[in-house]
Amino acid sequence: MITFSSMQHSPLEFLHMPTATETMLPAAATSPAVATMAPVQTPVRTPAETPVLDPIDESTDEIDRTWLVIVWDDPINLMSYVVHVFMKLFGQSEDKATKLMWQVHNEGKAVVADGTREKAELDVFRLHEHGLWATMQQDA
Amino acid sequence: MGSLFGGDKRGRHRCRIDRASHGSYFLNLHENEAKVLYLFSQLLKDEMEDTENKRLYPEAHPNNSEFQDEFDSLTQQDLVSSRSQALAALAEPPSREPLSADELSAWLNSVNILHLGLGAKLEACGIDLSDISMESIEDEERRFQVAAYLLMTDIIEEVSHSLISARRDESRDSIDRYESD
Repeated sequence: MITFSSMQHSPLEFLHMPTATETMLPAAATSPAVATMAPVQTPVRTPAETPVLDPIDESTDEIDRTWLVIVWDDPINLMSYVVHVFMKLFGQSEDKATKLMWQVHNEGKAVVADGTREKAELDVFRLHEHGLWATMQQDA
Repeated sequence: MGSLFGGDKRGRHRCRIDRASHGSYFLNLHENEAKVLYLFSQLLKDEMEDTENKRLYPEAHPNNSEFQDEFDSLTQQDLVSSRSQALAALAEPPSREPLSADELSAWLNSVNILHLGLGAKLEACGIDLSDISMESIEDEERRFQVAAYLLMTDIIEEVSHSLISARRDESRDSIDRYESD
């Protein structure tokens, strides 16, 4: 029989376990790129002294955007089971899990979690492990 | 007249889950129900390892093949093992000992994976799972598969509701404790 411990601590989880900081703060807040670009912290200087800043790196900006975890409607997984999985994996209340389940059912999909790419991939993996159809994409 | 899967002579529903004290559960699966789960866990073994089956192995990044390859390299083997463990858990009759909520939840996950595998197989045969009509299925083997699928549906529904209800009670208890402190 599969034990709960084997379900909860797959090798992947150890690889991708987010740090406490990642878990508690949005991705943008922990991003070094964002921290170094804050103009309000730049002292007032004469034009001659003003350092030339590198142009904004679009690719870094792309990487730092929050990832959304999306669960899609499917005719196989039962509503009650989906509520159970949301409560178990994301610690959601029954009310919240039920609302999300109805959103999936009525609208075809719902965002159930977000975070860094690593965290989102872990969430997607755990949803797949439970048989749910989940994908991820960057927040527009 | 006896019931194939239990229940009393008046046709009353037999509860598959008994909640015991200290948050534990007894799983009262009928012997024939356990046999059906075992049979299909063996029949679907090979199909459950087919990583090309997108129902069983969905893509995380359907629009980005580079990210999807990375994701597969990190997760696919774990997911194959997880599916295989799920089937192995159904190869033996469920324990008669009390189960913790976590153990029951793991067992439920196993049944759901089997249900998913069988559902994917039926879908591939053109059966509409959102509106199953046994009458419209002529093939005997397919009818048996659909009956087993519906049995699994019933089990999953009952166990899920038990676990949700237990969590609801837990959260009510903790609110009561908080208020009394």
